[in-house]
Amino acid sequence: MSSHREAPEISKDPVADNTDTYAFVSPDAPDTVTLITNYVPLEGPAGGPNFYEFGNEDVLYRINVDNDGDAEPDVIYEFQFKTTVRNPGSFLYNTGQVTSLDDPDWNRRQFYSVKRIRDGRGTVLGSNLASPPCNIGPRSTPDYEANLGLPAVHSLDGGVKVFAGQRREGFYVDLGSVFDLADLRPFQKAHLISTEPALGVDATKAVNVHTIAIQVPITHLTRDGSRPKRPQDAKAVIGVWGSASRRKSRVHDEEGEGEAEAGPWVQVSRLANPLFNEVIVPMGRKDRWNALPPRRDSEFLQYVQHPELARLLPVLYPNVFPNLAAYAKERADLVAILLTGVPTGVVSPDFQNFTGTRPADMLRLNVAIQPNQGPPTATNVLGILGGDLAGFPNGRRVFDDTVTIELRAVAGATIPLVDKSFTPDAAAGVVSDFVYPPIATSTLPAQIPDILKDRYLTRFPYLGVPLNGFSTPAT
Amino acid sequence: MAAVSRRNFLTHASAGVAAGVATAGGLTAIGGLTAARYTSPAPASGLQPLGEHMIVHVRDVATGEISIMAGTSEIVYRDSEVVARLLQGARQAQSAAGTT
Repeated sequence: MSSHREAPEISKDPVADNTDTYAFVSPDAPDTVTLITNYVPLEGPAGGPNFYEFGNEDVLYRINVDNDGDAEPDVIYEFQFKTTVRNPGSFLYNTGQVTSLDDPDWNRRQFYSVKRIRDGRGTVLGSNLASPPCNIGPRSTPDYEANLGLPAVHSLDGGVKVFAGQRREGFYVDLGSVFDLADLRPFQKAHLISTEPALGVDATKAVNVHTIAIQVPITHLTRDGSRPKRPQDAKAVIGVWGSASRRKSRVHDEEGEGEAEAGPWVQVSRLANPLFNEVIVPMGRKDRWNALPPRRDSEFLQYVQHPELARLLPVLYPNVFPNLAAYAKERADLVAILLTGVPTGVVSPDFQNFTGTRPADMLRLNVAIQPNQGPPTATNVLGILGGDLAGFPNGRRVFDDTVTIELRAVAGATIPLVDKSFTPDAAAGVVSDFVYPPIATSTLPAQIPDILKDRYLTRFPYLGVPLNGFSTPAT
Repeated sequence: MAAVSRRNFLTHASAGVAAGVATAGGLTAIGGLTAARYTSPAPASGLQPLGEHMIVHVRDVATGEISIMAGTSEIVYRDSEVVARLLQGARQAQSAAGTT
């Protein structure tokens, strides 16, 4: 998956597991950027009685922004949560209907603080901000979004909005096909172990996730506080990644009355480009990758230059990827997409998100690219691959089909951008993680395909209303 | 001797930090870990609690490198004498637990 349970150690620590990171110019507020990091993978909506929540003071969540290309965070948004229990004598999450964020029937609540750190100086933007409860069901949390979701969008000074709480999972993927030897539906006929074709399965359509989202003016993020208008301007590009840290040491108490923690915060999870740690980094190095900052990513450069998946595809799909199989050069296209950004002119004279030669896994967003470009460039879930410069890998929007984009890139579709001598295999342009037909021709009058619309909102925080546990089977 | 309790360890260690975490004199309160054998030259009752947890990690027995974590800070220094005493205590704990 994007980065759900993607490494051995973090897969055992869901509240710190950074599953997805998004960064995009807000479509309904184009002077702002929305930054989102998700945690707690694969929440079954009925997963009570201890419903999902963020780490309680023991996890430090961060959204990091580099604005000068050195892969160091220049602006940091820091989130910390505190849990309160009204009635520890009850086993219930809620003792009646919860119809507001201060409803006395809501037993276990979380509040959080937001701090911005810029140039080493911290400013508390908000404190004691309420998270909404999980969406339990129509009796416990009736009219969820109006009563609980919307009120949990907090407007802070300086034009900043923030939300932290449960949302519907926005990342879509046919997990079963990917992990079953990449038997990508509906291309099973061409697989080494051939079966009849079938439509893909949206494996994450019935799960929720915990979202930290912040919307800030673009001028809060750029290196000189400007609002760049020209995409070619180096100041227009920011690098973004999410992270979670825990204290360096922890001692469990044999009486079960809490743990002792001490020491500095140590990063245990991070995420920028989807699937980077999952698919690019080998098993034996995934935990290390999670602990390191992006500025150390030269350690992982070789895995981008020669990705394992590019070697596997020709084996799993015999005679389908002959040109890819014969390509032995370093994958400069993938290095640009994932580690340095794309220089001006490679995709278009009007586009770049290049941050310099230092390899670092960051989402690179050109804030001068407008979110709604209009005809003939329609919004396309395939992002730049679909001719839509406002989409992945120019940052990442909540609805971008990043699995298909990266799959096609790894399969060779983007090699000609940097090596004109290469002709992609025909399959590289159509291979897909098919969860809805037909994605390749999504020239959309609206922002997203109908089949995905209920997963998203057209306003902050853009990820959809969480599924409730009563109506969504736990299976 | 009673088995070493991690809670006791923390209690004793926390009491010691106010005397100066970076000095061997302050650290001697850690001797309370194995109170039956090691006694602290500083009276524990005269020390002020730190107000937050302190955890001590022996990073390298061979070099005597000790890490003291308190709050969100950490200090690393070397004191082979303290490490030797802790090591003896640890061996005694292992023995009491039947792990050696």
